[in-house]
Amino acid sequence: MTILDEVIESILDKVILMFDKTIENHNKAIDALISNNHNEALEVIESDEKINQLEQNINYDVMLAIAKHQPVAKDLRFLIGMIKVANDVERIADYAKSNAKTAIINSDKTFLTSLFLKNTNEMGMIISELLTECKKAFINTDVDHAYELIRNESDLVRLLNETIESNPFSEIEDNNVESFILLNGVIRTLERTRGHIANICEATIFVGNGEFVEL
Amino acid sequence: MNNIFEIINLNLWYGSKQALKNISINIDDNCVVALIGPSGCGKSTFLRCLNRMNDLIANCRIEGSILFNNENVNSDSYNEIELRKKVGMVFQRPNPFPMSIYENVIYGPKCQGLTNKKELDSIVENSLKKAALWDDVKDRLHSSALGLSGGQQQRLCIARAIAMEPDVLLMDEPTSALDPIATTKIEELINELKKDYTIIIVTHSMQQAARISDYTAFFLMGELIEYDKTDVIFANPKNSKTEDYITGRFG
Repeated sequence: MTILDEVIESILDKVILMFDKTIENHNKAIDALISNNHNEALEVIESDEKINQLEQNINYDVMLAIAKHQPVAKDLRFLIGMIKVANDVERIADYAKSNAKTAIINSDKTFLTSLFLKNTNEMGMIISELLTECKKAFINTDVDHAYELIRNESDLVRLLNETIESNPFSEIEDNNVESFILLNGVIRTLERTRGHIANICEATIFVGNGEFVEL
Repeated sequence: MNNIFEIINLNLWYGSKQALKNISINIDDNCVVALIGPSGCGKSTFLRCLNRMNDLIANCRIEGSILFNNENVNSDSYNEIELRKKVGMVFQRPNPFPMSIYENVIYGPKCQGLTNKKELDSIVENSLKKAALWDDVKDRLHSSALGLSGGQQQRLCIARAIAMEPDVLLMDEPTSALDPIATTKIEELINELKKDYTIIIVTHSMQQAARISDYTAFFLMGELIEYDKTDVIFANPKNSKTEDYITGRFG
């Protein structure tokens, strides 16, 4: 194992930790939305700062590794991949935080419809599974698995479409604008999380074979 | 771009030991080619084939074609002195002759019979300008070349090679004996010189190869493992042996 291998491994440990904390926050935020769990939502909001800090640490460590070790080829691609992935994971964590804030507001007003909550729960579980799997694909530089994940996300797309088509906004009492914005926000965070998972799969493919793909 | 060198099935033996095995490679003009690989892989031996410096080594036997501007230079009928006029060489350690800066630069042209003072003055000025040394030495052209710094001495050696108006410059680890500032100057110079010359450089520095070359050839145990654009070699090499070497996993 080279010195650079050790450096890369220590940065990868931080990326894995960032993934794990983000998946945990995502799960808690969805659960807080579904079950009106105020405390769980607060935990997500508080722990988001640690995830932001991890991203900054990863960026700094990668910068140092490039400056000190002048990596090339797969080492360079992996370091660049870790920066890209850390950025996407941080955004996913932000969405979890946003949903946690919505959960706190919803615990007072309960404006979310039952179909919406049911679909959100299902989408949340699919996203959680996709996040776990794309973490594995990235850690192992498993290009085939990254492609497979994107091909197999049809359930998530179907649920997103079904949720939008069900027009959950129609059940908002008195056309309350704040409720409308919050509900729209939850749908948007789930849709954007899906986009960032695709980015992570693209980064995995780049690390694996150097190809820039758009999934 | 045209192929200035086309090497076909080049094999070389030192006595019974084969140092180059079936090397085939085309080299474009006006580009920088870096030869990389671990010690003893054959990269310097290959470099020396290109201006037949290996002719000077006893028990050295070469087979195959080395086409320079479509003529096979690996042939007794090709005059190696004429070849070395067109394919100049700069060595690892600066080796100025123990004479003045001016005399160093005109040494080659004078050996070729040029005596006209005006022409020689012009060669000195042009060569030193191309070697980015003119401003440093224009006021002391007749001082000893040995009084120059290491980096200046190496640029003088480049000027001395340029004075012969070659097509190709071969450089065998030209910065390995220089400090980082002198190294940077030589690298900037190489980048300028490629407008007029083809430069083939042996280097042990992966970063230098990545910084200055357009193409990189990776040699291992006398074989050419991979030859491609430098951007490809250092971002996404095709051969796992290349990847292992440039990432420092062996060699």
